[in-house]
Amino acid sequence: MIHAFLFVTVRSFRNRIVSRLKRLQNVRYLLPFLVGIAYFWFAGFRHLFDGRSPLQHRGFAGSAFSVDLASVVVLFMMILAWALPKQSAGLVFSEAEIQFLFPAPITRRQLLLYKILRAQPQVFISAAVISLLMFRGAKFIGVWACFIALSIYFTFVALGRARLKLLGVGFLVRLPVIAAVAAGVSSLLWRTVDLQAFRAMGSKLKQGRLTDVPALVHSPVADAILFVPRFFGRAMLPESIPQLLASCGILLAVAWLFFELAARTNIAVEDASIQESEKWAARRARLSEQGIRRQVTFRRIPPPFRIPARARPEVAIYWKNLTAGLRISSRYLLIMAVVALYCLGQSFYGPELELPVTGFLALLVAAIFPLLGSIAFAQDMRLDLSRIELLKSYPISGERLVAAEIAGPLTFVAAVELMLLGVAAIIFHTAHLPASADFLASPEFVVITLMLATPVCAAQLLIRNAVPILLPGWAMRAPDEQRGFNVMGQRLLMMAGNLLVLLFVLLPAVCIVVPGLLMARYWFHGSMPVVALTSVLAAALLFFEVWLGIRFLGRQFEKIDVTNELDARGP
Amino acid sequence: MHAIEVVNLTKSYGSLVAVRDFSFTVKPGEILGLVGPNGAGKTTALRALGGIHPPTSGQVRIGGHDIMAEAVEAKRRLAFFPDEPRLFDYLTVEEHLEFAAAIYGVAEWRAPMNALLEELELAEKRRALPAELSRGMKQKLMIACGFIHAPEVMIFDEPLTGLDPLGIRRMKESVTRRAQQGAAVILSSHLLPLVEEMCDSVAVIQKGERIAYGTIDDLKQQIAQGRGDVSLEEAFLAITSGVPQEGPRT
Repeated sequence: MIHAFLFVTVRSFRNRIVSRLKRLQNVRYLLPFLVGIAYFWFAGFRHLFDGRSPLQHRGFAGSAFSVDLASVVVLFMMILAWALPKQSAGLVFSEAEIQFLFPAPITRRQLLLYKILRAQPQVFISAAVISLLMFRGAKFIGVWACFIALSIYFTFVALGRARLKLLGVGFLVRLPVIAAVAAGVSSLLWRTVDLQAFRAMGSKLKQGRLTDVPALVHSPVADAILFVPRFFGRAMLPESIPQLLASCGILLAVAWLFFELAARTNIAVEDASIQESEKWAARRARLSEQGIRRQVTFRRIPPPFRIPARARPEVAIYWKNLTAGLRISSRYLLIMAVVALYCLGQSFYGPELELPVTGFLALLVAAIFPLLGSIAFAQDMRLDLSRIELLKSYPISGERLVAAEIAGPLTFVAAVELMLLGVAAIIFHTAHLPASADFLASPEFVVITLMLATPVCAAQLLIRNAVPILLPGWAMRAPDEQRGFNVMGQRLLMMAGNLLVLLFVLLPAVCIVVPGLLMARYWFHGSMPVVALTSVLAAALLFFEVWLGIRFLGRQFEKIDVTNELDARGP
Repeated sequence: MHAIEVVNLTKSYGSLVAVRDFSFTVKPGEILGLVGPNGAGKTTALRALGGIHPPTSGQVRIGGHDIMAEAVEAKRRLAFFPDEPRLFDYLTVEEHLEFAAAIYGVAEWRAPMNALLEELELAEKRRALPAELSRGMKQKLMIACGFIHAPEVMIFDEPLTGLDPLGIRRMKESVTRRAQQGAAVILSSHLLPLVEEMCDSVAVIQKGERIAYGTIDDLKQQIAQGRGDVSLEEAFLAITSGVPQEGPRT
């Protein structure tokens, strides 16, 4: 049986890697993959060939002090795992695993063994990444052994909690007991802590010579408590290769012991596992939709209005997205309302000296809100991408559909934006601003910001909606594609692309506003009609750009080939 | 005039031709069964008929309107029912129907909505969100949304997936009744007895090509060749096993 388990584990791992590599033949995946690699390289891997690892640089490797420190961390992880609230025996299996394994003639012990084996590729990758970033060379073996032992231990603890629940020891009983054990162990260890070692650590850490620092704890009691955890510490931070090998061997024996203990808990895992797996699958499915939080948290909020009889389809889509926004993202509206009320309250009742700061705070939030708001209120094409088949069957042109989709979130984002700008204007009007910031209270500034707020929000929402239309495969990932170089690269490219396109879109408006303001100030003595005209022209230009974008995306939407883009996504 | 007219429909993905030179017509009141082995190109053909993806070449006309050139007019007349119900998580059952009615411009939707909720046994769930519905109920809601505008053309891709026996019976009755009232129906299904029971004609597709087309009786007679009566299942197996066949209609 173990042969079959190893076969499926190794083949699945190999096939996944091969399919990911094959996909890189498509430039759409290759480019983000390369960007992702570059990001990880600059984030940490570039030190790979420096010689010494970050931990070695700081003198952590091979010091008794650091081994003790690591052992204490592992010890508390092992103790506190018993205090987690989850007490069902559910282990997460895929749908295929449930269909194949649960009716198969295998024992519960073998099922557990399968589960542990299937987790090993993930354990291997995690250990590899951690050891590349923090350790070097042969220490990868030690990190890997630690991760194997800990993964099996946590499985044992999960089953142990379920067994305790069956024995009548629920979470509320476990929690104080574990808290008492943790406190007792802390107290015992603290009494034996060598405070001189701590003091020495401070100075030696700067010199990168922790090897000179003595062990953290010295007493038979502490040695007994840390007996097993020290094998973890020595495996991760060994003094020598023989010590590394010995620690790894002992850790694997300990892991086997944990497995035996887990198998002997004799807990019926099947029913709970099916429930747990269904929950997990639903969570993954939600995540696959670009991580958008789709959960309906305020289901009782009624739709904002009734759709008028004989309304156009665009109105229905606008109504749908407004309803979705209210039911999914109302919390953001509440948060922004609280921020605005706080700022307003400050302007009336707060200390006068703090007023400019509050005004700047409101203005800062308003400045970044088009970006953040377009993420918070994503009830548009991004939310509807999984129903693209349905959308495409509607009797509405792509152009009108895109416009209607964006109108819903635009209502929310623009409303909040105008509210924040209004609040900032009120505060600046009452505050005594320094001369250099006096323009913030000027009518020109208020008029221009208010006039441009809505088209800027529309432009930003349009850019966000371009991703699901132009690159549906990026916007809607398969459930097993939520991590990795590729996804990181996609996110970075989308972020950079978003900012770049937004700048490009805003540039023509800036080219109108700046000369317009200068003309108003120097030639027309700050005439408000001139300022207003400038703002109207800039806003009209922005709306024209948005209209062009909607036309373009509408045509692209009509060309999207559902089968090509979504059915074939992922391996 | 034909309600559905498909002329030389071809759909390719790069070098792969999923559907090749597919032609047929469906009259108002007629139910056409689209059958074929897995991967034959049925869903691709149906999606092209529903205007969900553009054909590579050929023409699809719904109620006389080209699905590409006059997409809005054509789509206003049809309802597409995918095999997987994809509903809006944040709209209740009733709101789904209100939304669908508005999308298709149905001004008086309350009475049809109530009738559909009763007909499809969803009345008690009218204020439920999709997360609170079973797979079969979601399927029924999807079908109700398609029925709300009384479409002239209905395209079903495996319509009975997830329904219980009573639901299947109700669905068959609903579709047949709408066909009798003049709707043209295309029904893709692997359930050959269902196709035999409901459909007037059938198109068999294999490897993207139409290999048989005609009334069910014609096809059966052609396969039987004087050997007595054969079922559609036997005819289907004979046709798809490599015996070249072509129905009497073109």
